[in-house]
Amino acid sequence: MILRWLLPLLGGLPVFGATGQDTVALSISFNDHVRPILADKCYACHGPDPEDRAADLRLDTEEGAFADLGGYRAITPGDPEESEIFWRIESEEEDEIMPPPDSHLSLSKQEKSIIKQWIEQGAKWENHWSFEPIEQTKVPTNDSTWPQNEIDEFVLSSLIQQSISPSKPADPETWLRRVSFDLTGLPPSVDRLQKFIQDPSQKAREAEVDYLLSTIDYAERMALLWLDGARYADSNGFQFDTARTMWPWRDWVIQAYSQNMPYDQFVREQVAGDLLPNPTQDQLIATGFNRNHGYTYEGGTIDEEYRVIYANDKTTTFGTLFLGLTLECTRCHDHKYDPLSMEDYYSMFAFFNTSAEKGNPGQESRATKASAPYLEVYSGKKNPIHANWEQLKPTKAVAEKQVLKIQKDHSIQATGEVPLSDSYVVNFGVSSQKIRSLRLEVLPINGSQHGPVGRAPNGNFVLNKLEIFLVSKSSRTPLKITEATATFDQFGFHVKQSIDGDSTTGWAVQGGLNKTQIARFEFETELNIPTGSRLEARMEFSSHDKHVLGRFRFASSIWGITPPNALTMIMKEEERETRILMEGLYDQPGKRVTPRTPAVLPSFDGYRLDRLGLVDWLVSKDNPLFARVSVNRLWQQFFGYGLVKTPDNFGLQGELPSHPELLDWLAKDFINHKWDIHQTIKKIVLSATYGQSSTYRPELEDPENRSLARASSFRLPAEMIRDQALASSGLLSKKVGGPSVMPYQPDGVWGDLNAPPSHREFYVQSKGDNLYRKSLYTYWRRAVLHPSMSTFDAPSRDVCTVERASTNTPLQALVSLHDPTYWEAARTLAVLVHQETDPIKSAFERVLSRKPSQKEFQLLGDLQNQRISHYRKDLKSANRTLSVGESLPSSTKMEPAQLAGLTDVCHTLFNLSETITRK
Amino acid sequence: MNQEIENLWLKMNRRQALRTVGAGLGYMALGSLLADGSTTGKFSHHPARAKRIIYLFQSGGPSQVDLFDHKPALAQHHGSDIFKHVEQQGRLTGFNNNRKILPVINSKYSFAQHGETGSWTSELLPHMAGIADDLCTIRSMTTIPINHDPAMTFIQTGHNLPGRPSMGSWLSYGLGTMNQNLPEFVALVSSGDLPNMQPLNSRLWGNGFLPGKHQGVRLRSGTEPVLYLNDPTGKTLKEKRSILDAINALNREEANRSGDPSVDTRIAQYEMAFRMQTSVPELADFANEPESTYKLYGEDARKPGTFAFNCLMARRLAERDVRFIQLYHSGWDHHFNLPAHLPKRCKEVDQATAGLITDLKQRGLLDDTIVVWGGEFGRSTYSQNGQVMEAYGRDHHPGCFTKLLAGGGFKPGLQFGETDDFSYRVTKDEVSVHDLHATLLHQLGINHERLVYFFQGRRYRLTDVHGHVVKKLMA
Repeated sequence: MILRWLLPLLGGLPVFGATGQDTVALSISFNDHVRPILADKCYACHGPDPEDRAADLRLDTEEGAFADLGGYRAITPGDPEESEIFWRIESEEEDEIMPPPDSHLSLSKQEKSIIKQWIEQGAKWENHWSFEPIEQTKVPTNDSTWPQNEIDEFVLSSLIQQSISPSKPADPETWLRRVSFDLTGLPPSVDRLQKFIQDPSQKAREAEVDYLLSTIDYAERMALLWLDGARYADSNGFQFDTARTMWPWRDWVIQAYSQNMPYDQFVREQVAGDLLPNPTQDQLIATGFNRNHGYTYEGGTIDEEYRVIYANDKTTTFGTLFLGLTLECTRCHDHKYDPLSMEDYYSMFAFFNTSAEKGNPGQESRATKASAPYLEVYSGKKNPIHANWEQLKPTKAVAEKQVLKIQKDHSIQATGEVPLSDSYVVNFGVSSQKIRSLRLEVLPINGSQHGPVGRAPNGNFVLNKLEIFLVSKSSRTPLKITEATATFDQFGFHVKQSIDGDSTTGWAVQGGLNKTQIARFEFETELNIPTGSRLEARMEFSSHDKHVLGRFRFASSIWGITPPNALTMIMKEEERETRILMEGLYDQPGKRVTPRTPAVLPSFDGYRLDRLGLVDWLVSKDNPLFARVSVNRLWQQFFGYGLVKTPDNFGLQGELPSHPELLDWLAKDFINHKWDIHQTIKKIVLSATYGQSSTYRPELEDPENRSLARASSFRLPAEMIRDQALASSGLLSKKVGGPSVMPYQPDGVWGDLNAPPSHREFYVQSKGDNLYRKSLYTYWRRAVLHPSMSTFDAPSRDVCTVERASTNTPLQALVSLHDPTYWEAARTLAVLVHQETDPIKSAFERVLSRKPSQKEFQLLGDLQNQRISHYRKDLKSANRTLSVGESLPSSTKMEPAQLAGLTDVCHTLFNLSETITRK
Repeated sequence: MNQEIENLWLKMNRRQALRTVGAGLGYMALGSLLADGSTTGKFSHHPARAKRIIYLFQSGGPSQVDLFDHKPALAQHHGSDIFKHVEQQGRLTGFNNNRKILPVINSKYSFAQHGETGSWTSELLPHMAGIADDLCTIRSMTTIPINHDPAMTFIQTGHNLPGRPSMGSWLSYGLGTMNQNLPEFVALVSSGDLPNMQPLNSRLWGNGFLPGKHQGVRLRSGTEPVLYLNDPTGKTLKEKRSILDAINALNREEANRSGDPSVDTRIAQYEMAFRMQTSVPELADFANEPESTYKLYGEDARKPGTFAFNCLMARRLAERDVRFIQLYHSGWDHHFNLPAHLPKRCKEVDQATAGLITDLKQRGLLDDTIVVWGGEFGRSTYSQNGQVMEAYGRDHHPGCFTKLLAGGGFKPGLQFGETDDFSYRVTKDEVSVHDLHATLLHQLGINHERLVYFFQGRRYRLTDVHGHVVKKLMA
């Protein structure tokens, strides 16, 4: 933040003296210059929060700032001497000076001067820029051939104002590597590189971009960014940080990006897919977005406390990701800086407070790896498909010795004296249906959530035989069941023993008593049930005295049950009234509120009072924030920083846009093109601005590149550093989606969590291809993130993160020097290139997408020679270098010492600064 | 990007700072960024009384009424409902909110006064009782959360939910490093299967929204004390040196070509990584420790992964000027059958704690090192399982608990704060978690209201908008 005033202000702002000493301002704008000072230094006491407002003065509204305070005014336009704030900020008296000494805030000379000049110039008030409607800005025209498109016209006219020239274009190699990483997270292949170098024309660039956008890698790369914001993880975060299954949601995101789903739809389905008319399974899965936050299973947890915490997380994530507002601040009090009240907050909270979920979902959710409400997901032989179970409605149910009663919920209840053994026959009407599998729910007899499920004195049952028949008027055909799984199997009583034809064995659930258990059965083939037919289930209980079922229910599905079967969390509404929570405390409810959006933003009148209405409001053309916030994050992907440097804060304490007209133009363009992400991305990456060289221009004193007088360069994100090593060596698996995987990780990392044996989870290193999947698929355990990820600044995703730090530490060096991944990739790369005319040059080009300089080539050659002569003297050491990792070295004719020497060279390439930088 | 900007900013401002006499803003920051080993960081507000902290965290919530907070009145009310004697304040955990009565349980353990100051300590901690005059005992700590996860997160980050930086990260950010070869913030965890263990999430030593370089580095026992320290190809240091020379030469080419200041930083970090491959094994090699060390810390200090071993390691880290040394010992969550477990936990930590403090004192390190001992909350005087028997257990209790401080300018032998006859609530000199944080920062030369990081539109602090420095604790 210090930087804000030390650096020259750029982009259409007045230019101050370079040393930041005396200020020579051309024209002071309230929004650009004055409000940031007032917000940062004054609003904590003279802002929107009435609780802490001092001297009954507020400087965040026009009325307040110019009010008659009884013979004097805080601000008298045109006359600093008649303005109380001028005297106060210039005062040297401890009891007069503003900000007061105990605030630890002070105004710089420059800041004081800005306020004075603004008053002198007439103190023109403006509303906060980001709350104003997005205007259709006019594209400036410059007399120059440099611009490729509208973006460049905006950038160039601002550069001209500052008398700065753009940088020369980047080398074609650099441009291709840059755009490949930005769009796909991977370096370009050598073939594409060579083809491109021959014709780096604008047309060829466009073709290249079209190609990159069409790849699944693009969808995965975009998902990577979205996962941080949506706080996706494979674990629950709190206490023992147990596992969960949210990857079906992650796969939905990849799928959506790969179809270039319009952004408004992308957001609508995630925020409110469940409220769409007749939502599809995919639209339900999308709503897992709201459930990605942590869940606690800690014993003794007060349920309501955490239910409220979850609703808060949903609310603030929505605020950060879609509105760029720090709603979090208004949970306990009115906002100190932004015109947002507690009532605004809890009115937003009301949209999410009706989620049908629990604060402490209970220990059984540990086993299901999901807390209700959830959806069953089936990943079978085909593409991942989401099972949809349909209740089978019994028409007749008879037992030999008991009375079976059909209940309203389609379950069947056994009554009467408990017999030693029995057999049940149940008929279902199922005409003209396709069926692949059946589900048997074994329910607590008492009709509640908990209680015995069998009628044996110990609450158990043994289902010895389950047979299913297809019955028509003329025939009764047995159906072959080939597969069975259950949520719980007693030792020695596996569910498969109920379909093995042997009446002495069967399925039982001792150890999983007292709650619903589910068995699933799959038929050998998909059944087409003809009209007029029915299904008949026969169940036999004979091996153990009185072990008969008490209450059960059947359902059917058109999908198979082949594992992995997973449950993934989704949204479901439940009626609940929302009240303001005083000081944010769950047990201090205040005034009742209804769902609505913050008063300072466009009206919510006429929208549905639920999440679907909220999204409709969000994506409406009148919303000044959504499009700006969204294109700003896209910009950040390509320039390291957004046009607004604080992607999470478009409020009064956020940074001002460096190029406000460009931001608005991009936002409007995004809306006009029906939220087409490809369209906006193409505009950005095909601009001359993006195509510049990224070479530093220290004379501009603009390290953050706010002027856009060059392309930005930054260290690759954690995932891409690893993926690049795998890709350039050919180890990378291109498998898409599915459960997360566990690549190499040092021993004992999960042990760090210090869980007792009963709550311990184990990191089981993946096998085969799964060792080489993209880092997007690396198991994301919040409490003990994979160390090679966290070391390179990957966030734990405990909370919504829209900006990653990029640090430079010795521990990072240790990862790329010693993680077996890089040694295995280095050896694989060495094997790959060893027969080329010039192996070092080939390896260099695969990793860095360019040819080495003479000097570089010589340094690497010297290193190789030195290493080979070492290995010739120490063959054991050569073999050790060649044997890191699970993949077997392909057989080569090269002598081990030579190959090990080349491996060291490749490993050196992975450790170069340039390698992990996108320039 | 932070790093490269910091560096460029540094380059720019070194010029400016030199040009402009007394450019206060730039100059203070400059010192810390140069990492020149000075203890003065950009958030150094007044002369520091201490340089470093060793935090001996006892995870799970040790029972103050069985260890430090002597309550003779419990004997006569043993078995009666606590709410006949005290008014209920605040919440009960989900374990106990449906019970009809919550019977008071007397401590099984005898207490005696120790040292010149007559500090009451339980028979379970004889060694710690033996250094009573070195300890500054706060019996009036309070916290807010009532469950482990939020209470641990609160006491380590100042907030009950994930996302904030831990105390050590704040110090790394605020004060910078004091050494050239080791991380400035190190976490050590006792290993082993202790009953009643609570998990230790890495967020407890995480950087939250601060840049990743401020996160604590977990130091392990075993052959690889720092992750990825060992080279799987088994190269010697000499070989590594020659390879590193090649990496550096190639990186210098890139630095010249790109003008990117982050390349210079990366060269320096690779050098530091190289030095760590010597400094860390040297740190972890106890061969030069004399026999007297084990007399002091106990024989357990020979066994990697024990609390005693980690205490000894903590002293070695303190000697090497690591700023924040965070130890965790687990297994204090005694809901059931406390008498079966508490004595074991005490035995594991008692001698080593006393040994560490004595050792630091003998070496003159206690003057500028603060040692903190304690958990995330206290335990109830009423029985968790409703039984008044030998095998009593105690539930979580945020209303009062005990923390011990030593060294770093805290008043030795001080008995601070009082609780009521049932150790239910604080009756005098309450010290909140924020107060403790403010006070610890104060001793390190930091005004807790001014150790700020601008994030999501506001200045964040370890102490949020709370916290008072408790001056009465200081010598």
